[in-house]
Amino acid sequence: MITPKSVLRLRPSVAMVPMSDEKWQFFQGNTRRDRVFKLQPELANAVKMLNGNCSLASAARHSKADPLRLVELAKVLHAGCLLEDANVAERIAKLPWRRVINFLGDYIPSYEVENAFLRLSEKTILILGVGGVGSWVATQLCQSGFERFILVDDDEIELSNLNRSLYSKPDVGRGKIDALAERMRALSPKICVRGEKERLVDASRLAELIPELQGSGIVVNCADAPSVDATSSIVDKVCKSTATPYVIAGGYNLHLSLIGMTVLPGKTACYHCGRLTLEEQQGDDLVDMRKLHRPWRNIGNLAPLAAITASFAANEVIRLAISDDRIPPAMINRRGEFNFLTGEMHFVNLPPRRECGCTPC
Amino acid sequence: MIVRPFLRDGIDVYVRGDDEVHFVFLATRKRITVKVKPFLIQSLAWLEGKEDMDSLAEGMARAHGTDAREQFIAFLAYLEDKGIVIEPDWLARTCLDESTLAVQQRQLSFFLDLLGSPEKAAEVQRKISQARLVCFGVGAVGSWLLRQLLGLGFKHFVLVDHDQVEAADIARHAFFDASDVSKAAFKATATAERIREQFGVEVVAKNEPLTTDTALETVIAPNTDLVINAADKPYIGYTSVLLSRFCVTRHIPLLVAGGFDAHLGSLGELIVPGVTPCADCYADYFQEALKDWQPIEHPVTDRQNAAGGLCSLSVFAAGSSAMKILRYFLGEGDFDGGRGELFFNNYQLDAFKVERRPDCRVCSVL
Repeated sequence: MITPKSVLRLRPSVAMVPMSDEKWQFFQGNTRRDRVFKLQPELANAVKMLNGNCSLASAARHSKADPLRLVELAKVLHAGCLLEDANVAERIAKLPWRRVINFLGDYIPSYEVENAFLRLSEKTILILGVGGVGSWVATQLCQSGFERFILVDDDEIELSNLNRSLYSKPDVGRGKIDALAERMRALSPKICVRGEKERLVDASRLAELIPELQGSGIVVNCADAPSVDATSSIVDKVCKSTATPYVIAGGYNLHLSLIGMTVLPGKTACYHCGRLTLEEQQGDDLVDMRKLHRPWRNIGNLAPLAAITASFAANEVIRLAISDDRIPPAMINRRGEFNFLTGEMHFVNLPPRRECGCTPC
Repeated sequence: MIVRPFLRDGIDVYVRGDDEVHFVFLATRKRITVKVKPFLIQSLAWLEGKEDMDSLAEGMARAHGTDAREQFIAFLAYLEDKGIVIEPDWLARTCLDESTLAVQQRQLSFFLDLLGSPEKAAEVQRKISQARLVCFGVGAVGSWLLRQLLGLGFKHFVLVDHDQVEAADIARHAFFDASDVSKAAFKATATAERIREQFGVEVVAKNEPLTTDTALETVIAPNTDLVINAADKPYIGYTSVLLSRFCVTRHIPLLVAGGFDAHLGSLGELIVPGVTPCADCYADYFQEALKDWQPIEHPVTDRQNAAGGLCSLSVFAAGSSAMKILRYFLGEGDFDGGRGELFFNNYQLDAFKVERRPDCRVCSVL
């Protein structure tokens, strides 16, 4: 509730920039978004005073602005995440998670942002495969405020894993889930990790794990054995039957730095919709060609590519967990690719496909 | 001539009709298309690195006539030249030490895909393991960048930072855990200890601030190969100019990775003296570009604990910087000046070019 007594302040990450004709740009430095308002000089002066120490009524009095109009304006600016409540801001500044909450504060107004952040700790994240990409995803999610995890992987750490995963020499010979869980717990005593030392081979085992998410979970697929396609197909099947959102992170088999997709089963394009479109597009110039079958290949990879792929997966899990239309997942109905040589990003649209039948499109 | 031809892992082979073959390089998406006799296409299935050239050529001659021998040898010479076939034990032939080979085999495969020759791949790995790096700022972006550089195989570091670990760092740092917070450990010392434990490499920690009073020549030795700036206090533009003026005149490249904006997905910026713009060129450019964009003085004076950021965006910024550094060591960088950032809304990258200033007081003499 915003009233004349409310004490608000211009969010510290927002720049207020004068333009021509009484127009003002409000620039959100964190997310590089901006909005322009035309403001009477008295109202603009009142907003300029909002430092978190004076009420709207007193700012209006000092700048000779109409207090009711200032309250109406403050409601709009607060809803747009340009102003914040001073008490909320003071609470957030004392928290170890202040950076994350302040970032989310660009999307969620201050009266709601604390609760929005708490949703991260309420979700359980099931990560399939904790190698090159999965180890980075798990760690970044711990450092974003998530607390509950299930890790699934049967591998042991080998020297050849160290160039791209978050493991290091003293971990060699240990189970990946054991080393990673220990690292995650060291970050915070609140973090609760369960490891399942096994390899995902069929849908039935995954289906047994899903109920442990208690209807409030997200699956992240970082498992690439035997292939990302094979594991994604299993994930898709189980997540569809349980309406569990999932994120596909990584894919070494075809390209090296894939991003996405993010799937809300029944609502957005699923893994199979994506596959249908990708197969059509790939047909453009490799049509009627035969691919030489070459098993047991060892494809190159590097730390920064694994880290970057994982960083986008983490972003998507955060967005899914917040569950708010103001900060929706960005990899719905599309897949991205980061080009190592040029540093450019390319996206392919992967719309829901009628023939897949997974959405009412 | 190759002894035991092996069709490399990083290449997909597509065949159209019976005489057209496409080699697709997975890492770079480069494609080579050739038209050859059908028996040569069939011969690709034999290039598993198990049989030697003589017996393969002999087999070709027996099956397809004596001319086939010469044609096969010529085809293999072509494939070798293009880096499509190599020796199966190419890793062992690089003469890199055993530990590097064990840890870096996937990376060496990647280098091989990019560079086409095992010798060049090994040479880059060797350069990386010998390079001396000085890193200013071991905060969110700096620490994640170091973590990735360790993965790439860098082994010699000097870390400079005078900050101490506090609770909020847990939400963003690559090396700290709860125990460092309770000790209020110095970031540089704590990071160096972790790096030594985990990687056994050479790290010197200096718990010093970076200011105009810093005697840079005591921190940046003349044999330094790269300086990294991830120090954002008082702000990244200030520390970059300070370091750039020192590095540019000594021909040491400088990677600018940090700053409060990098928590939010900035792309790293590499300053190669005499090639790219220097920090002064950038500063002048932005002063001019932003001369009509002047925010009012912010009503909130203490904004220190109000910054926003995500660990994942620090990791992304570090990743883009790590790749700039790697491309520099690969000799594959474009070395254009420019700046860029990731838009969190849609993950588009907004990048633009910045040119060197012909009248720059620091780098125009180079």
